[in-house]
Amino acid sequence: MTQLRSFADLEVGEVLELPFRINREQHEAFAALAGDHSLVHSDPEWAHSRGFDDVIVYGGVLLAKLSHLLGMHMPGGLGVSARWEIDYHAPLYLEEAALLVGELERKSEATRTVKIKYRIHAGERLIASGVARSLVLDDTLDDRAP
Amino acid sequence: MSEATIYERLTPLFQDVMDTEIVPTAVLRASDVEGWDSLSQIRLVVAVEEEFDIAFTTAEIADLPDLGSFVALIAHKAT
Repeated sequence: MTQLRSFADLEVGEVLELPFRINREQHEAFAALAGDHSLVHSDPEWAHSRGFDDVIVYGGVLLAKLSHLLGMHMPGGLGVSARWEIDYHAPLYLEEAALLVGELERKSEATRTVKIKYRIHAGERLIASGVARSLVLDDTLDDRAP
Repeated sequence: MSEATIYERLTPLFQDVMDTEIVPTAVLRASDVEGWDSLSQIRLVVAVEEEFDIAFTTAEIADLPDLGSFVALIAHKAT
């Protein structure tokens, strides 16, 4: 169940770790959803020929895991995403154990937003990293533009 | 920090957030810039807080009449 956390409850420096593993069923479900059947995600022989160990997990699936972290935990059920950034560093393969680590880096009281820095690892390999910013709607947003 | 320096650092932030080539001036208001709504206002405030390493309160940014008032607030906070 999603955590309903107020802006005041969220603390700079708090860290959350989410282990995950993407299986073939999830991989194929995302392929159908996205309509992306590019060879690096669908053709093992082609992937091997280009230096990969196997087909690689979709970047969008990694963002789905980020969505889980944001929507369920940090900031949780009262958050609304305003900005996501991601850099991909290395491929993640199917059934490979991965760890998503999010850290609440900054809070803006004036805008009731939080900035979350995140990294995804598979063992010692850094798979992806980035930042996300979310509004925390535990109060009514005013129109604050001058 | 002088207001001239603030405008120099604010201009690229403003143009990036608002996706505009408009050069910010003291008399500029939200109604002058297409797309300057409450969400882009939030992105601008956050960008300014990070650029100048300052923090605003909700009350401080609630009733700013124009960009000049915002720059004056930045100047006050950044000293």
